[in-house]
Amino acid sequence: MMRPWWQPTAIAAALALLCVSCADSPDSSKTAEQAEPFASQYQPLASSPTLIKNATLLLGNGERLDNGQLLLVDGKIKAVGTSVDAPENATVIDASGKWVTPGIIDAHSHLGVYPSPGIESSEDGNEMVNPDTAYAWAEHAIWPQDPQFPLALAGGVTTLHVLPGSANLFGGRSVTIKNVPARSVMEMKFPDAPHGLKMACGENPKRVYGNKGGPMTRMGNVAGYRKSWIEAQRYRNEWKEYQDALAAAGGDESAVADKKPERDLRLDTLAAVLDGKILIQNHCYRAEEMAIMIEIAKEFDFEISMFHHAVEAYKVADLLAENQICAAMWADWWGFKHEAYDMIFENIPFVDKASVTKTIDGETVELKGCAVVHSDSALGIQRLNQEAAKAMAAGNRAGLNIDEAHAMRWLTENPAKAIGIADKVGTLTVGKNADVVIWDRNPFSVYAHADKVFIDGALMYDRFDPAKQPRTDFDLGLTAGGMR
Amino acid sequence: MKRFTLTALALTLSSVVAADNIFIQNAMVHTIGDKGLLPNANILIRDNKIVAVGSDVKADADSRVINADGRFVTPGLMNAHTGLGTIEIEAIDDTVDIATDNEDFGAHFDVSDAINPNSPLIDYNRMMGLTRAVVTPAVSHGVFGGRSTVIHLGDSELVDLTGVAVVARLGESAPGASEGSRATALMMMREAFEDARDYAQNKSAYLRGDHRDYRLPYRDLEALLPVLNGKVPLVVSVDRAVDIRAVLKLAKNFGIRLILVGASEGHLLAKELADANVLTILAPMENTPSSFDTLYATLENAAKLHAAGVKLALTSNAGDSPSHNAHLARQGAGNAVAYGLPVEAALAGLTRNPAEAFGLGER
Repeated sequence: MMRPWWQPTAIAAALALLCVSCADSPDSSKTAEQAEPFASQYQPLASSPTLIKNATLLLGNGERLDNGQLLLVDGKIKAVGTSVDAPENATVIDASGKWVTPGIIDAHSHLGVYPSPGIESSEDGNEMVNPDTAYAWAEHAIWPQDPQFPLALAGGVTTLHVLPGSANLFGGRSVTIKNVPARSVMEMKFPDAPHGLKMACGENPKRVYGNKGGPMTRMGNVAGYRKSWIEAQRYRNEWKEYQDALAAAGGDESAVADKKPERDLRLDTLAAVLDGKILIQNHCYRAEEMAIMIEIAKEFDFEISMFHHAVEAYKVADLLAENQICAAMWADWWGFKHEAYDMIFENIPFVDKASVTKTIDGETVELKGCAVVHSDSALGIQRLNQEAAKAMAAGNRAGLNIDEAHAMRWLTENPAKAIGIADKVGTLTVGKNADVVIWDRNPFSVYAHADKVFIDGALMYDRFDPAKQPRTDFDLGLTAGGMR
Repeated sequence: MKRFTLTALALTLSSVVAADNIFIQNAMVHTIGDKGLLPNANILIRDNKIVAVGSDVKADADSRVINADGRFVTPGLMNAHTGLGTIEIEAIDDTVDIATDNEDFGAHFDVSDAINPNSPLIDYNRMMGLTRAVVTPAVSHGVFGGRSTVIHLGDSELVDLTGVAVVARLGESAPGASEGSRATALMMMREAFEDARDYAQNKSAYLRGDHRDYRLPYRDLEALLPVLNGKVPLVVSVDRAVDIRAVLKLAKNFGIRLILVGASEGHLLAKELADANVLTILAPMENTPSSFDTLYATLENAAKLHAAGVKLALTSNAGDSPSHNAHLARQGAGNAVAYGLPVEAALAGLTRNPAEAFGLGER
């Protein structure tokens, strides 16, 4: 099947289109009989209607509204404007002088799987036993009591995309979670967010497996990806044949029991990628490797949602735009390994400004770049706003005209798109989840603090109210400290 | 952000090596001296030396005039804890010269011979505001890492002052603590200074072979003598409050001038650090309990220590030796200010305080 990979909304479009083939997948055959395992049990906290007034609103979609009003009702954004009708019982927050943005989404985090303290007992992010561990799921290792979660919350982060590490060609499934106190990962899981599959280019798999049977080179890496995708295609076909036979037998499972393939957790994940239900999240630093990965995606007919780290994304910004692949980047990290050597400050703004015009069936389409600012760090996640500020400043020094409203997209709308939740969060749009941050000033200042953070309309963090500054169980008993 | 991004003017200037006469006008000048912040001030520079700062200072006939147009000007910035010049790519051992693995070299190890003036990281960090840095050897065995060097990022030879400090590490990540208990590392340090003192008194007998042996090679003991006689400080990487207290006591007993790096839990004994007049080099953004030595790490560490009277220097990363992103000490300073450190104190932490502590105060 030909995929509309050139369309501006390729991810959403591909998902919608591919649902035609959903019935073919091994996942859907079992969901008919049993509930989805590890399903979200997240429940928003109770909230009352809240009206935020007199704020500078950055909507997260590139727009700015001065002296704006934002109404949150029943966990959703109910109204945005300069004059909003609020119910009488609404809590009114006068946000004069303050800035309001969507909750920040960190599209690359290891919180919970690499918690603090960083001790061997709780290092659960890299299943370094095989180059293909697509069977592993990050959510099975998330420790909800990681004391780093509330620190990210104080930095305005409401949603995290937690990935397995990058030791393996296929590291396993990532998971999207709400930044809320919880006892289990199911209580954090973002409802209806798709899984990702972590893939890794370059040095890490080479380093880890070079003396353990390979891959030992980038040649071996690519051979390893292709080998697994060939297996996934075969597996998917076996299930398709079984489904067809089952349909022909009128749904009588016993009649076709001998044709039923054996389930394989690893191939379940890969086949679901081919079905468009799991999004590829690809750790990849160098330009030529990103180009190779795009070729592999075309060979096996799947989409890459985002390249992560992507220090050289600026060299292939047009290619990324043309293929509608986002890039998640740092503002200035570099040089800690060879593949991170060729950093430029303008990486994020150059990816952002990339634009490719294409003519498809006589129709001209402009395909734009998708820049995402990510942390990959328990320190960076606390100040992603500063990371975006540095990138914005670099872009403006290079002569690009980037304002705060536009740069905010790197922290909200674009990561939401890249992890498949743009219909739910990422912008201050009526009907979306009321994940909202009130900043004490322009969030692109190094001095900015998140004053209040709402998740689904509930106040989860208040800088001036210790009762609204959650700590995890790990922190209990630490009596000598004040705030982190 | 502005306050820390518009310093480039001064930075570029201080990297000028050829004699130059410059007049900077209309600047917001952070003097980091008695004059404090001077709005709308001019700076006159003759032969690369600052000769006058003030609103009534006039240009010479041959001054090259730079209009700062209201932007901030500060002294060139200094990161007091880096690996600059000794690291090209951290993950590639062959390009890293910040530590010796040879057990015959400890306190004596001199990192200055390894410092590469042509490292691309130097120009890069100068572009981002650093004009000086301390290169701190890392501790790979025992408790001592070696001797620090001050580098001048605008000088083609880079190395400015050598042997400015002896470096050590305590706590759970100290190699000396790998032998079972962090107390081992302290015992090793105490014994080293006792032996160094003994060696100083019995040097000729020892060199004749007429004195007891020491655990450390005599050249390492030799390197500790400037620490014992107060000529150079002992720089100790340490985080847990109990270790900080122990090393304060040790320094007092031996009359050692102490500088701390990291000190995540320093705020728990701020008054003791102030009373002992210990310069503390912080990475202000490091607030996670990333180990059981940093359970009380906090973003308010800098502000609390300053409020108690502790002199601070600011770095980008206390754990490793910051290299590529050593300039992010600026962002750390901004964050320290966001959590209560006065701007002037943050700037002093990037300029005057480390310069004085590492022997550059006069300059």
